[in-house]
Amino acid sequence: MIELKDVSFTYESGETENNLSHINLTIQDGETILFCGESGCGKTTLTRLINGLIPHYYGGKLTGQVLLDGKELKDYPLYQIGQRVGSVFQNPRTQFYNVDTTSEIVFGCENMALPVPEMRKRLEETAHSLKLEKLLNRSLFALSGGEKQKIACASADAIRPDIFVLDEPSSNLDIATIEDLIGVIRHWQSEKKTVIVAEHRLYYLVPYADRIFYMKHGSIVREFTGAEFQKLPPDELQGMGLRALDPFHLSPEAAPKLAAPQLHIKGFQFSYEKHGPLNVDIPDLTLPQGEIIGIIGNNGAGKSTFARCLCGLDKKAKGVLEMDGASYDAKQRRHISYMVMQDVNHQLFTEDVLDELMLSMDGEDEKADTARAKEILNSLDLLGKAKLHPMSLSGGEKQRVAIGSAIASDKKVLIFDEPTSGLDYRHMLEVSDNLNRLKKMGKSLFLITHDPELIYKCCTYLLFIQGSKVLWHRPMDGDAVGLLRAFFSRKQGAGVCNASG
Amino acid sequence: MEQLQAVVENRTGFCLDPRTKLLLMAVVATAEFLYSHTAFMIAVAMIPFVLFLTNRQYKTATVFFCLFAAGLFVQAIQNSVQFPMIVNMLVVLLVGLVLRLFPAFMMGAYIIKSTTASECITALGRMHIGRQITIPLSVLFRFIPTMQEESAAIKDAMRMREVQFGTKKFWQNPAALIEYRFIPLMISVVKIGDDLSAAALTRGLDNPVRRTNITKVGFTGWDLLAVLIAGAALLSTYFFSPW
Repeated sequence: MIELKDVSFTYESGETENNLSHINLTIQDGETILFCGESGCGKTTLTRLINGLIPHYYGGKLTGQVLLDGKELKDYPLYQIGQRVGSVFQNPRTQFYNVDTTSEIVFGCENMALPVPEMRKRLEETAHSLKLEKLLNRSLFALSGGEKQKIACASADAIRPDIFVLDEPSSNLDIATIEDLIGVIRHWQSEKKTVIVAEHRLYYLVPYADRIFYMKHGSIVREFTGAEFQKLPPDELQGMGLRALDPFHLSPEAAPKLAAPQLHIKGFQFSYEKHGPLNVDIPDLTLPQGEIIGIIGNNGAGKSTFARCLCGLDKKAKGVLEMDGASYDAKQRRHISYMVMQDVNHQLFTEDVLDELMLSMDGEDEKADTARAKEILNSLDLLGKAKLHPMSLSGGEKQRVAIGSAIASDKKVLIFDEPTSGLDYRHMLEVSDNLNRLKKMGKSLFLITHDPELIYKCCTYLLFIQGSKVLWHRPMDGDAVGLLRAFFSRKQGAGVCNASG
Repeated sequence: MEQLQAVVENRTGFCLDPRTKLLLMAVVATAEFLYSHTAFMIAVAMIPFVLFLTNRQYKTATVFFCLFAAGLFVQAIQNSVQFPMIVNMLVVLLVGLVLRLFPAFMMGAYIIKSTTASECITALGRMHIGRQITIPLSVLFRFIPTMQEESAAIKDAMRMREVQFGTKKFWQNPAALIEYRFIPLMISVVKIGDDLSAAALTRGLDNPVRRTNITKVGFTGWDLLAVLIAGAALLSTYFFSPW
């Protein structure tokens, strides 16, 4: 049993978000608990209290008591708490200590100094019950995000804790691997473990949660049973800043205009290995200009490779893009296209926001450039932040700075790679607004995403890639919605198959 | 479960204890500065080369082999061909780098590729090295591939912004290019390091007991064999050079 008695916590870094105030909570053994709420509401902080990272790793001012079976957690060292509470974190890339899967799964056991035969037994059991025999003894760097997250679950499982704490585990997963994650959580439930999850994506978890807590500004403001929560109407969820419970059956909100100018893609071919199979093979494709084109398809189908070809990152990519009467090969495409990466931190280089935009201009006439940069910042609601360091901004603002730099260098084709992974409803809307703003400026946008809500919100055209080829593409009309729904339900089905056999 | 048994036990082939690897590293690093003749240098270079082959790092082995052979060749013809002074300086520098420093770099590449972080912590623990040293060291192991991934992503981002070598912007401020490459890298490395430590601590990294290891860490016949062969090759070429 976990008890939180009047717990308040303030991070020592002095941030105003993510803190907790006066939390009272009791979690019984074997319960499945879901914490939800907007970013910054403190749900991650709450998970850190339960797995002991607060106060042992993240410092700050902690008052009140966090009790596990009546004992205060702060009196025990982290390695002892770790034997009772297993943790899975948000980012599959940054929670591994080892480079190969097998060592990673038994890492906790090794630290506990389990005898080797017992460790092997656990490795076998865990691999069997979480269905990951195929992933053993592989390099972690060769795994997909979903596979990495499964290994993270296995590593927590092998310690055999009674309680599992998961902090936004689905943030970087696609729909099919989320189904695998459900499989893992169901397995823990069948073993009567306590499962505590902080999450933005609700649809997959709500059916299995015993209790759901809605948090705001560091407090628990509402408590639901799973059944009560499922009865909440969609607009109430949106008002609470929460993601949809059934994101797959929404309706498209943006109508395609399909103006006359078009993009022609001719002879796109690219392969990562010499003489290897083609990773992108698109002989001839005509797409509308000035629309938001959603690129969908399974993991590994070639969506990202297509995007890399489109913005000319792979010099060896064959084929041209024709637009406005001009033809661009791979190298020339770099002048007209830009990709906003999933981790936008990688593409902000300078010391203030204004400089970031100036960097993208040719620098001939500094005065004119400054005026233009300011104009762009104004159009993106960033003028007030012109003198701030890009890294001090919020995620959505950083994304807008990256967008601003693309506008400054006059890019016409913009590609977004998973711009809403791990975002709550409000921030997803912010991204969708950014995309629409660009559309109004006449830019052609491509959007790689696993987020059905975002697709329904802003895509006006869909492009489906499978096996390195474009299988179908069409405006976002009734037929496209039908195909999209069929794709999502097939993916959900695929995940269940993986999880059960 | 047969498959699983195979997985756990397939490390019974050629496999060195991390301590042997460190010893060989020390030997190579020392030997390459005991300037001697060609045969000795070849013997030194053979150590990482053969180890690469045992670890199936064929590509690195080939690159190393070609560079080293080219280095030897240039050194051999250096005295008979007259280069302009600047070129000569560069050539001497490059040849020196390849012949003297590369074997140790290559040992490093082998050790990092062939040792799991977990083996490394266990082996260093057996050498009675404190956790203050073993933990950061093993994190370093884990970090190298991650840094490469991050660095590649940043490079792509720079190319898309056309912030790169040779452009007009570049000539205005060449040093800025380094700044743009390293600052995002450092920011993401700090963030990743933070997440990584938190994840490792929840899995008991700070547990003071003597940790166990699923792959057996300990000296085997292979270690003896490797040290004997390496020792014999070095000593014989050092004292009894055929040339």
